[in-house]
Amino acid sequence: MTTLYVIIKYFTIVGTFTKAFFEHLSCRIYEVLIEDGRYLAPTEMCGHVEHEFIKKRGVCFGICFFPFMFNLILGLVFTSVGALNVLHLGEFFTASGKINILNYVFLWLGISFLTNLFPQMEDALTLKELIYNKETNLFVKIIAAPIFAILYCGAKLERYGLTLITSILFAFVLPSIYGLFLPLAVL
Amino acid sequence: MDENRQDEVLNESETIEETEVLSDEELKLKQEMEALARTFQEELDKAKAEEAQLALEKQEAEEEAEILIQELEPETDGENIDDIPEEELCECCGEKRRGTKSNPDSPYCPSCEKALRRYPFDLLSVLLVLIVVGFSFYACICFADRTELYANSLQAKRYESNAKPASAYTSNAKAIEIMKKDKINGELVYKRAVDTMFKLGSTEEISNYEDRFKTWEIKLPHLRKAYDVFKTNEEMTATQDKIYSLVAEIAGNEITNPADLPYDEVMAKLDELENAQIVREPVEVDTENGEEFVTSAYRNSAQTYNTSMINFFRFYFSAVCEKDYETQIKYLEKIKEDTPEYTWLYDSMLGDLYNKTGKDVTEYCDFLLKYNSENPVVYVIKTTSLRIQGKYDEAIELAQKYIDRNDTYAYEFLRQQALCYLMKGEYKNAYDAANSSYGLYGNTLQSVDTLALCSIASNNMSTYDELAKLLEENEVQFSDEVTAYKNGTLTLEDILTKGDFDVQ
Repeated sequence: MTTLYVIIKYFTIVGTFTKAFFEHLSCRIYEVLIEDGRYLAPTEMCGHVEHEFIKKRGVCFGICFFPFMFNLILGLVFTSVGALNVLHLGEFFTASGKINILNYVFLWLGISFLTNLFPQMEDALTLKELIYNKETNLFVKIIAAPIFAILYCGAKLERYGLTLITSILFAFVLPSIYGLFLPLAVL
Repeated sequence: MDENRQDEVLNESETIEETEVLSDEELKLKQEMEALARTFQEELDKAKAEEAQLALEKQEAEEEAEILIQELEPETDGENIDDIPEEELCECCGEKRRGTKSNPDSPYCPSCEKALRRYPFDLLSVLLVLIVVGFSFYACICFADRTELYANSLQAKRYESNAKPASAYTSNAKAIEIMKKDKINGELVYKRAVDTMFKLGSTEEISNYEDRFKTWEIKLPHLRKAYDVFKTNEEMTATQDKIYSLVAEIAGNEITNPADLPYDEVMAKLDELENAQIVREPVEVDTENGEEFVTSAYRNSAQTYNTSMINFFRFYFSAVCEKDYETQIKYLEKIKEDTPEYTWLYDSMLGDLYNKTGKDVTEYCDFLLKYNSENPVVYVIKTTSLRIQGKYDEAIELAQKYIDRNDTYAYEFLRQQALCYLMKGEYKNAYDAANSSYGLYGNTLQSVDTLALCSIASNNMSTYDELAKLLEENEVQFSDEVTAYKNGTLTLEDILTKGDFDVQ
């Protein structure tokens, strides 16, 4: 399973790298001790930085959420252009008949970012322990539930390399999502 | 040392005893030997002393070096590294005691922990991320540049999924215009546009898009729909051309009277076409400035004649030859059954026939709306049906909705309104509606007959005379029903509530 995980991580290397970078950045901002700062180590930590056990709820949430958000924004930008050009318009070739490489690069980058959105499983579990305990008030638990659910499920999927499939599916669905509001907003 | 002394004493006593016994020569030799032995002994003692001195110097040098090393090694909190157990050393540097003030259990020493909390960035990593972020801005610009195209194209797709091909056609046309302007080769947009055109029956326009697809690519699953449309379109065109040539062969090029058409012979020829293969004409080579050129653009070639188109011509010839309505309905229903999506080929004609035979059209209208929810023909059929059922007010109200929208079929809605007003005895309104209908689309005999009927009913004979003059110029006459109504042999009820419920 680790081999498959590492292969997928290397296939989506740009997303893997930036995810680790944003994790590193978050750790620095929160002054979390980093034990292994290699971004592309061919292990289960590929695409993540190994850091100390976090005891503060806000810090743990920040380290899980901000890299997710940054990669999500980049992923949406690239997937939007790539998916609309390739999967919706069907611009496979340029007007002169050559393969439109730029569109495929956009699509690959988008899928690559969306594949690497989620925190490592240990962080997700830590977040679960810190949010869903007796000390946390109900309001915080309810507010955090949707984002926690996404992060937790995503972390589980990423562990088995399934986020590649979900991100490809998302790229196919994205033009339809745009179809719901873009014509109303533009026309 | 004591042992050496004893050896010397013994040697001396032995020498005295031997001197007494030995001769002078022997004594001299002995003395030389003893002198030599002493010299050796002295040299040996000297070498031993030097060796001992060297060993002492080496030991002193080692001790001095050890002191220097110890001076270089730092001491933690006054502790010597040798005094700290290995398991308590910092995991990072291995030189200091682990643990900090804030976290005594930390596996790192304070300085290492401080450094690890500010783990440095690799310059190359920062550069790579900046490049990616910069590239994302470029992607945003690309997206913004094409927003209108995306919006139109997505709108078209949405209309298509909501069974609104006419609106989809308009949005696709806008998208294609932008694509042509910006030199964007959106093959899926062309595919969807071609499909929409076919659903609306714009068959002549479809062939203009064949060169947008590559021969090797069009049969792939994602463009297969376009391939099917092109193929069907070509089959239909080939069928139409073949039937025209067959009719010309059988009946000559100009048929003025439908009765002259040999119906059975034509129908027999159409039966033969159903299973026939298309015989290709010799391929014309494209040339440019007298030289052949090769194009990768897709070129279709139909193999068989289209059955639905053959059935359409069966209906057409049966209508021209004035066969009974059931025969005509049979052929149109065959098209509906085989290819229900070709609504443009049968919708208005079958609806009209259903109305003329007094059939309920509700189910048929719902069926048509499934394929095209904007199809105005459906509402023409509904209005006619309401009029035939005697629900004149409802028919007028429904027709008014589409007249106000300035619909393509507004002329027919106005004509139906005119017929309703006639039945209600509101002849002035009937005349106005019929006149408006004639003004919008007066190219059919039915509209002329309707206006004539309303003119007679409203006693507006000047219009009637003008129409009569117009028909005379074109060597055509009013329908028998209009003439009979003018002569008073038929009433409006006879014309509009019996027979085919309409003026011919």
